[in-house]
Amino acid sequence: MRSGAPLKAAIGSGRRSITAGAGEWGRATLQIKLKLTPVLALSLLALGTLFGHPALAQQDNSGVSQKEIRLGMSADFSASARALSIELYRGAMAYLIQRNQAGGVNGRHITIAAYDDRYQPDLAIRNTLRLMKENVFALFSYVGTPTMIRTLPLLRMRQGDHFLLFFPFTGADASRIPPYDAFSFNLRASYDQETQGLVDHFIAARHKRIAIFYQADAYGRTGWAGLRKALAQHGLEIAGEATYRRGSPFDQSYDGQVAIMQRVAPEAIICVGTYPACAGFVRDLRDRDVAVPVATISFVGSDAMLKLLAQAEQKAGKDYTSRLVSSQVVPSYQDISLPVVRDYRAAMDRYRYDIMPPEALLYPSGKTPETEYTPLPYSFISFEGYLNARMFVAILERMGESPSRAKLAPAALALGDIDLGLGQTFSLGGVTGRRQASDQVYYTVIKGGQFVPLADAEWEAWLKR
Amino acid sequence: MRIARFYQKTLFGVFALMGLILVSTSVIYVHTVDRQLTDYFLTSSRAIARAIANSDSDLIINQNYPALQSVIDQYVEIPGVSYVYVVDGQGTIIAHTFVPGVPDEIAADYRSEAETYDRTLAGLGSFSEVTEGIIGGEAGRVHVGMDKGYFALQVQTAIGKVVYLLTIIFVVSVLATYGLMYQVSRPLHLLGRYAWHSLSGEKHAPPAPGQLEPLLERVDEVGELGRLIRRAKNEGV
Repeated sequence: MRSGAPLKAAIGSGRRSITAGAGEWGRATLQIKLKLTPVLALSLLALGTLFGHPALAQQDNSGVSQKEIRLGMSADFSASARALSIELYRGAMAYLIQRNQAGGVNGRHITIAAYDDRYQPDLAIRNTLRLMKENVFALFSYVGTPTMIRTLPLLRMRQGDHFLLFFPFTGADASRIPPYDAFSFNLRASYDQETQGLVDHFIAARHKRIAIFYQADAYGRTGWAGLRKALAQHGLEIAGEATYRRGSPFDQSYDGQVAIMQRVAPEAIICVGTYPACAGFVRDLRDRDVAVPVATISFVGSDAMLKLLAQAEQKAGKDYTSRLVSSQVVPSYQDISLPVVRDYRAAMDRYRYDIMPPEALLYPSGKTPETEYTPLPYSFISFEGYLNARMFVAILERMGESPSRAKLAPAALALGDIDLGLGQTFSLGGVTGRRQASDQVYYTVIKGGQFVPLADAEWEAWLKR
Repeated sequence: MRIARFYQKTLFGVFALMGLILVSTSVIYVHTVDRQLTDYFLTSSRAIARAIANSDSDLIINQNYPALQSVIDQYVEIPGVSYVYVVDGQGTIIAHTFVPGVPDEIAADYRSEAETYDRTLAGLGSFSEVTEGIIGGEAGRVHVGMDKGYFALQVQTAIGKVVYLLTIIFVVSVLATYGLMYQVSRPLHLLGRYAWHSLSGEKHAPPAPGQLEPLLERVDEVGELGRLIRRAKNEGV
């Protein structure tokens, strides 16, 4: 086993923390006190105070021990959005393993306890309760809007325990507006900002009839609402809409949705979905010779979508990828002029085999050739995971030697501007008490089988192609 | 297994009466169950519409559409609830559960303030749709569509079980009645053969001694009639 193996063994094992041990010690002490004579009991209590306290000091109820800070993650590791969750996890672990090997933060290793929610809200709630019971330090990099929306009320209910959600992989407003903004911190720009940017660019290029293909749930509705708001600013309305059910696979037919789009005849379509459904929709759209430009937002997972479409292109001998534009919330991982991109790529290369989630998470029904996941060397998603981890560690560093959950929000809000080597600053706190570090949205198109940046000035020319 | 002719009419009358009871019970039951289950489903869908309209009006007013969508998504998990959609005060559908899109029939007719709609959606089936106003209808309306096919199936299942039970009871009753009638008519049939053999002078096969002796020893009317025939035979009447 490679260097990250001990860390992997701890991840997702669900083992009891030291705090739980302290609780058992307390109960045992109480039983002894009841059974033995008061003098003996008092003696034992005194011994307990002498020898037991160091154990207690190892971990209070803040999710921190002398050697470890555990983060909790609930995401879809085995269903329709698994590529997103796996890559996000891999990116975060690439940084954390590197950091842990360098001594961690104030001598403590940062680990992630990850559980599979299959992109289902009820499972996300169950996982969150489990992570709270395990007394993790913070909830980290949850994936998905419908899962996060159902989880936030739980954080509000348990606000006395100071559980916070850091850097969820969603641009939904729910974690950015009252009443739940107080329980989360976001790294990425919101979906509203992504759709606003896409709409502005399409309209600037005189593509005013914009339709939407979206997932029939809270995530899709977020994109729909964002598009509606963005179009309203231009005095326009959504030209048409088609939906799909959450969890729809790539192989499914999307002819019903394509038929709606053909009837609407939009000048552009924005997809707010997951990569299998969006890729399937684009495939069926092109198979019916609908050449309208299609835009996807960051959650789609453009690398995973490209992988599916490229395979389909080879089989069908058709062009599925040339009229696609994707909005991203992190810069291109191809841009090695950025120091953090170089660091990210080096970490992904070095820890390639150590950063996969445990197989029990990925293959709950057993590993087969059909279900085996082939990780991407680099991707926008894993890059975001890497930045999430790096940003979280930056906050931890400012908490000194005695971090606790109660001090986490003040520490994040005191972070201010920080440059991780991106060529842009992330910012938390400040005068406005920012809880979203970045407002930046980037646009990419596919050239030569990979994503390349699309500059603002290039939009019109690209749309005319 | 023959039954005496004069009992056959009685038997037929009993069967006819049983059939009448079976049919009338089934009809009344079908009608009652159909009405009660239909009322139940409509009441349920109205309760769902009211729950969404009353408890989530803040989400609608604050335009928190994702949270609203999250709420209505949970309701379509209830068996029988096929779709939910919410229309705002301006007449825009702001959240819905349709895939792959809002059906044309609904897109063409959802803005009235009707409390119920009977809809037939192409390729989807027939639905009873109930609506509830949000803040008295000022902020829009919640629409909940119940699948008529689903509750028709529920009604048919409930009725089917009862009719099945009644049919079994009917068949068992018929067989039991027939058996009892046979028990009654069989001695008469034997006595008839005994009388014809003993008194008519025509060639008639008598009942076997093993069948006749028990009859003559009986203390009821059958025994009395048998003994009377024997006496008439012995006296050469």
